[in-house]
Amino acid sequence: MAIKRNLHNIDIAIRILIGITLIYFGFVDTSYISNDMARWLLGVFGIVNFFAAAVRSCPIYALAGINTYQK
Amino acid sequence: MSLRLKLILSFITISLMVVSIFSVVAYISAREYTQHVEQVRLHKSNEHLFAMLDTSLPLLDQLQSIVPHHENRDNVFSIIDMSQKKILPGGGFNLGTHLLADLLIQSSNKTQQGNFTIGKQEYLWSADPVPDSQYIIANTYLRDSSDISTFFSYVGTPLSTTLFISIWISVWAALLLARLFRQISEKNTLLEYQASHDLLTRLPNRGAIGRSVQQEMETAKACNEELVFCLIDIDALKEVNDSLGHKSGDILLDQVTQRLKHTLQDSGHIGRFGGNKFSVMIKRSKTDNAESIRCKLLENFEPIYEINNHSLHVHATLGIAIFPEHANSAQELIQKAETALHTAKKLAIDSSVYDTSQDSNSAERLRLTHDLRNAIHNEELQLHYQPQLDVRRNEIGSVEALARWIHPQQGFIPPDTFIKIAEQTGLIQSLTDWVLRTAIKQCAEWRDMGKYLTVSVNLSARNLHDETLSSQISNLLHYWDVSPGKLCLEITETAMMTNPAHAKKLLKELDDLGVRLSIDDFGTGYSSLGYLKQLPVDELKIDKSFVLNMAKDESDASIVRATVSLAHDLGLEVVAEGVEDQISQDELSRMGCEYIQGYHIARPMPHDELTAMLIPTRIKNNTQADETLVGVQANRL
Repeated sequence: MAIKRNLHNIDIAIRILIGITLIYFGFVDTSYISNDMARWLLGVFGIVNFFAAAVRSCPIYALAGINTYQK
Repeated sequence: MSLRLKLILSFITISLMVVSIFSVVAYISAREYTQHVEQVRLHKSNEHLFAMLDTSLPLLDQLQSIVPHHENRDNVFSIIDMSQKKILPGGGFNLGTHLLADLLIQSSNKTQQGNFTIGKQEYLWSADPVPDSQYIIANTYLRDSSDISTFFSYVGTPLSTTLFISIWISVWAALLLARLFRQISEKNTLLEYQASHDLLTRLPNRGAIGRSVQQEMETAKACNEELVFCLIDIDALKEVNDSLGHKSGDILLDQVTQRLKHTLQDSGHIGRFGGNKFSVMIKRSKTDNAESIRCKLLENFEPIYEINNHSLHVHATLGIAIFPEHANSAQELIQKAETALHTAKKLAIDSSVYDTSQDSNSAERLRLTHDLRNAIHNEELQLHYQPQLDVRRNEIGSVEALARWIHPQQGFIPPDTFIKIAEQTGLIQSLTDWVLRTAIKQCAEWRDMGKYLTVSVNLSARNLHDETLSSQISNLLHYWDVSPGKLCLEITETAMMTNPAHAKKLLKELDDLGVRLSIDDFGTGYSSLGYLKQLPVDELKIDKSFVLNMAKDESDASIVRATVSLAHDLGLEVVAEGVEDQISQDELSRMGCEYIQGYHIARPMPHDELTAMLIPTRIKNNTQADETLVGVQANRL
């Protein structure tokens, strides 16, 4: 099943930014957050965001019927 | 604010609240836990002190020497002598020690732990008795006031991360829920629309029309206005559907809708009543009367309709009912408009405004039907008998039984009226049943008095469908021991022709019984002589419309003469009804008519009057008979 794009470029940019930040704090620089679980959670969220930005489609948007790509 | 935004905000608020409550609970639990840990530590310090004591040396001295060495910020010891109830020198001091010492001296319990607050400072303490002595060592600790900031330095990061993630998930949930709500509400709106609208023309359907009529009626009632409700029947729709296909029919309906909308603009409500019917409801203003509305609506159908390259003249029929003139409820108003439409179609006119007299289903009629049912059931009807003169023997040889209904409130109801109601409502069977029972019984009574009369009973077209009729008649004849030849059943030509095969079968059965059969109202229907020839009938009754005028109208006389001759040729006897003068009677006698019935002989009368008339007097000749009968009539009138 082809993934239908539903993210606008700005949306993608924001997600890449958030994704990289969260992955950084989650898995790269572990000194900021000492709690392992919190770090993991952030990291996973970062990956989810980054993934959504990469495929230019957010599954939650798709389920909620939101589309920032075609306004 | 949109539903989505509302949901997002409320979900974020909920997550903030949950995280805040969680933080408070975590903080309280952490404090309680640390307090417990500190108290255990204080207790252990005390025990550690006791372990260093040498039981062979004086205790107090040892305590006083050890305690100062072990004191620090976290352990402030006091030595209390419980027997003297005082604090002994040698212990440390902070604000809490004295207070605690007083507390311990007052209470007798020796091992205790707890906390107390002086000003903003909180002290934790543990008091333990020195083994085998009257001394107590109370260890107090001034709790660090930076506890809360220490707490948040530990849990702040995981808590804010949790908050961040929970807000994120909340937004997701809010988005999904908003979508779900929107889908449900869209579906509901669609269903509501489908339930109340015709999908082809997008006009309100019958149910919605009823509701809007009801609403408009209430407004109109309050404002003292009138409403015109009009049903429009598109006569051509079926033809268009049949000849050009249903798609073309749909196009026609759509065009009619557009034209109606254009004509009415916003002044009325248009609806699709179903099938080929539209409805229009308009508030009647002073300038806009029913007539002008009617014309305006009919104008819609004058221009030619262009459907798939076919030019069509579309004819419409209108039925109009007005509130409050014709009805008080929506249902009634719609029903009246339908009646008006039905009338217009029946009369082949393009429109009709409701008129009570044309309504066969009015409340009045319903009441009458109900009363008739009761009257038949309670045997409140009367049976009158009209004598028929046997011309050859110059005497009354037979009578025709005629039902009469005197309504308790409305008085005399014409037989045509109540028989029509009985036929339409299926009461005719019980009515005929009652007439047969009464007539046959009466016939038996007369026979017992020595008067052998033939009784004629009229059958309706609907009786011909009654499979049990012949067996029922046979039973009655048996029961009253009446010879079948003394019962004559009159059936109209029209009734026989409605279902010839059925009629023929039933007449055959009746004929087999030996009952006389008569064709009533002969000459008014469309019967085929070829068909009549096959029926096992015994007599023919010439319709009174010919007989009434035969003295004046030569053509009527010719018809009568021809009919008599025809009947004789077919081997049938002839009864002429509607004889009202001597000239007609003489003429009919000359023609060879066997029986004569009419006001000139006698009017229909109750059985006792007839009995009184027949039993003492035997008619000798025409003149004598006339005198007697006129006398009877005069008495009765």
